[in-house]
Amino acid sequence: MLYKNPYNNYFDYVVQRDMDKCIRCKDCVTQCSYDANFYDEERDLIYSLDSNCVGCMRCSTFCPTDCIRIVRNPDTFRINANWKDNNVKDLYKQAGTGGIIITGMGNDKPYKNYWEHMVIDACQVTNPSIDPLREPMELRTFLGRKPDRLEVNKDGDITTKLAPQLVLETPIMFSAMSYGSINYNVCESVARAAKELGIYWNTGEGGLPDTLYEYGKHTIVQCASGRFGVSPEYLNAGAAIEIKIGQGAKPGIGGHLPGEKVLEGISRTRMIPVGTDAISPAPHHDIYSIEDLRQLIYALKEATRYEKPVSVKIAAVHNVAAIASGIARAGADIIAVDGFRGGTGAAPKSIRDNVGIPTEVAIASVDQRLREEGIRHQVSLVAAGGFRNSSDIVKAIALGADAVYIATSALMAVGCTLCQQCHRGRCAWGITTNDPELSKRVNPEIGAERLVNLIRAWSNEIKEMLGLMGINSIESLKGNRDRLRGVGLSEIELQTLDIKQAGM
Amino acid sequence: MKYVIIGNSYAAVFAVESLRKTDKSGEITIISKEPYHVYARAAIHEYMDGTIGDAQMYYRDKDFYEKHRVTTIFGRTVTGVEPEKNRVVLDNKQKIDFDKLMISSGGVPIVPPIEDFKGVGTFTFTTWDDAKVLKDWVKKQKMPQAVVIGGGLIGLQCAEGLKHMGVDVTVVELADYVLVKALDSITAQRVQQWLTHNGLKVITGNTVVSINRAKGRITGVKLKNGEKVKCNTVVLSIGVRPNTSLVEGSGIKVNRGIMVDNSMQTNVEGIFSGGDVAEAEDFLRKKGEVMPIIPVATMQGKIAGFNMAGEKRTYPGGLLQNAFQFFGKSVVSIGNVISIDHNDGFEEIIKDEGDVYKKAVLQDGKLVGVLSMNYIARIGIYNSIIRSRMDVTGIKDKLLSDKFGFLDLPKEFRDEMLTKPG
Amino acid sequence: MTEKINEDGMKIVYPREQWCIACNLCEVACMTEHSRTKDPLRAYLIEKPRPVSRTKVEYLPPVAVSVMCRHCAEAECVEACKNGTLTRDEKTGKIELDRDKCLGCWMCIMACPYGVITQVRKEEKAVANKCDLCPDREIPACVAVCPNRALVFEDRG
Repeated sequence: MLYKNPYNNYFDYVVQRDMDKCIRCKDCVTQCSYDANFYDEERDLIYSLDSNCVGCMRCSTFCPTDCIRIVRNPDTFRINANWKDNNVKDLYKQAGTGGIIITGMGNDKPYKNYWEHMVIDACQVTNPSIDPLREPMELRTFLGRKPDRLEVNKDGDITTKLAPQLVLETPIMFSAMSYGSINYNVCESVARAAKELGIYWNTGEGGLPDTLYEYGKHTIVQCASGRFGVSPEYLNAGAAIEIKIGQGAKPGIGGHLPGEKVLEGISRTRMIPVGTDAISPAPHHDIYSIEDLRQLIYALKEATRYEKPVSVKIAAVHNVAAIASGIARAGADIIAVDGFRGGTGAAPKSIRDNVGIPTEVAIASVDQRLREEGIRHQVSLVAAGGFRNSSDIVKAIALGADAVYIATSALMAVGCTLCQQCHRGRCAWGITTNDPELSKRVNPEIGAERLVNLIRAWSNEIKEMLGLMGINSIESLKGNRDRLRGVGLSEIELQTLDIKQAGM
Repeated sequence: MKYVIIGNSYAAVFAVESLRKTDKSGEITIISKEPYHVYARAAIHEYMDGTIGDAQMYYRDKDFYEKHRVTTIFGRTVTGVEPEKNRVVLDNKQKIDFDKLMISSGGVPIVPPIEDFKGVGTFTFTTWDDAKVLKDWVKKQKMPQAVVIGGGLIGLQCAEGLKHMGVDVTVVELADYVLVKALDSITAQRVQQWLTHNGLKVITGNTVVSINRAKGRITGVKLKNGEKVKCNTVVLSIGVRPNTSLVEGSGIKVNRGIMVDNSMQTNVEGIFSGGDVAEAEDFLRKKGEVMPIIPVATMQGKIAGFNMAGEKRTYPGGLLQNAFQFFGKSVVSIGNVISIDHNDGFEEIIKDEGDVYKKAVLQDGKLVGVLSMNYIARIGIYNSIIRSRMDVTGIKDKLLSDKFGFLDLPKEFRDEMLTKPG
Repeated sequence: MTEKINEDGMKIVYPREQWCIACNLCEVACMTEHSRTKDPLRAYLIEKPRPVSRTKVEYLPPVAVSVMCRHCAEAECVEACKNGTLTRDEKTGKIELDRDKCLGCWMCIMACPYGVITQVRKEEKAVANKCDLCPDREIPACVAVCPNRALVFEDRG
């Protein structure tokens, strides 16, 4: 509490402890990784240093007597509609440090959330709805280039040579999170869940640890601007390869894994020395045009004997539709579009909160553009960036996505409470940390189970929603915008999303 | 198969239990001179002063012999063993045949050459009957005053018991301090101070040479230095020696005790021994030693039982261990805590803070002994360390910390201990 | 160590140190399960004597492990016990502790190579205290409460 610069001593949360209910079990003390809780042996008291609290709720959820409440610091600056609390605190922080403010997770600003302004249609009388408990309901999704036409011989067998496809048992995948940004246990949780669910997880740009090669058939291996961990074995180990151009949380900038996070396992996997910073440049230094991108796509296809689909992931930005069209023409089999609510392990706050566009509109415009150009079938479209539940996913597919990527939701299933401290490497929930003591807080057995539960629950809800729309296959929902209506949207918004106003 | 077990205490019980685990049908006979169902010999002082009653004295449930199908011959003493005839002879000349014999006849009190040590007012203190007789006697005295000869464990326990009963007690010990076999001089002196603090009189470096009587009743004792101590009760407790008289002339080899190998077998095939009468290998010194303590007796009984029934087991060697309390203060000693010769690679680590005294003895970097006073939490872990013979040089500093535990020990050792069935 | 044979095979609690996060909830659960009121608050704050956990969380960052009775097939505590307070139930394999019988001589604490026998007050005196595998529960309380499966109830015999 002492020796702090008062100009910087503004903090967000207060740990309230009901001492009548405290049994001195010291659970809160051992669980806090930010040194906010202490035990004073002499007084036999537990107390808190509120200014260290990040509001991650690790202590309050673990407290066996529920004696802890994490509350917003009631300290209030004079109310000012222009200078909101966070504007003031950020300013003070920077005046104190002179640094860029770094944060984790996705854009948390109250931009309009279009999912909440779209509603789903249902069958009544004139067209029957389907009961998914009684009738088959197909969620299986194929990602990859589809042929212009399909030829079938007289026995009914397809004779057209098909491009390689990813087969998803449900249209949800785990989005790119690198080994290093999340620890091994979380990677293993995600990989195990993907395998059990019959879907895919994505290595991000951290490479694939040797011990996770067994999950290769359910792995999308990423090739990003830093090329960390990329080798022929790596490319061939996965089911698909993804070229990462951009990320929704920080479009246009690169990545930076600080040297202190580069421990033995990460060093080996990324193929860089222990303790060195892993810097991913903002652009790929060999890609300055669609033609350059095409070269990389085909180099990767060549390296994997054209057996694996290649995906290109971009951040959702203003002219995303035109870029996507170029990517499709460059030979990509899948395009992943990451909206600005997508998470990150570390990004400048000013960028996270102000750059990029929502995935809802990006998907709508990309799908629209590809259809208009007659190349929609040449490429699959994966939406990413802030999916919170099954209805968001249903709406994304109705807007034109083939499948979605989730990462923030996945981490939440494993424990994340969105405290946005990922960049500090001290995650109390043991997710975005490589500290050996904290990392073991995620037991992959439990992590995988919880992920499987979440995706199963969402898949069942998706089936229910398909059923009420009278649809028995997810394929029939794709781009089926007539199933959506807008509520509280302007005409231009409805136009952009290409949906009708509710009531019409 | 006929098994005969001489004795009915800790070693005998474990022999029976392991025999029955392996051989469900053989006949087992226990011969004991005491007429009691197996009882806690080590708790007789607590029985005497009324801390515990009969229920807490019985070592095993009432149906122990039935359940294990044991024939008991109580109140009889074995006077001879005849290996060539495979039989033992009882004091009533009865002969009992055996195929396998276990001799766990325990110890007998050592009686020193004290003038007039017999008759009214003199007691020994090793059996339940001893405790009962002494208890009755003390109750009858108007002003009970007792001299306990011997400041060993049993003597002091008896003295404490007597003190609790309101007896004015003086302990006379020949050595320079009490508990000379179990403790080092520092702890022994602290124990002695504590005893004195609680009203016991302790005389060391001295011994009783004669008992004074008037009209047949004891009036006091005379010490070696000529001093006299007034009393009406004398308890002799200078220790026990292996009760080996029954094997005299049998060809069974005796050194201090009956010598046994690591299967607890004597030099005569089929004849085993264990408990206070036996001399088996000392884990640390790797030579024969009589160790009259419970964990050694029970382990020897167990090993003997298995081997008698044909299941091969090896005795890992005995480790001296003792835990005792006087007037609420506890002392634990494990392994070799005394007679240290620094030239022999020994090293002592001592932690002496306030009430707590802890000492670890290392030999050539290996832990060989631990002594602790007023702190006993998790002390048994040191047993595993001593038994493992691991080098502890690297953890010397942590060894006596109150937080010391498995996490201070090598991971392989910890995994071996904690991830496998105990 | 003596040679051990667990011929029956029995379920006991095993720690999995790689997942122990030192949250101490096993200790709280153990204390609560062995309290009169089965309420952690009352157990800790009101009950006299305060129940004592039978498992011990060792914590030496970054490692932690919770250690409790191994219910040894040939238990040193049983072999050291003066008066038969500690016995092995040959049917269940459990090491049983009869509190009414315990003399408080601490031979068991001295003997237990795992250091898992503690002391607890019983009326005027202290008696030995150790894991009883929660006879009223299907799964011992410590295992049920462990948020990270760092304790498992298994037969590894």
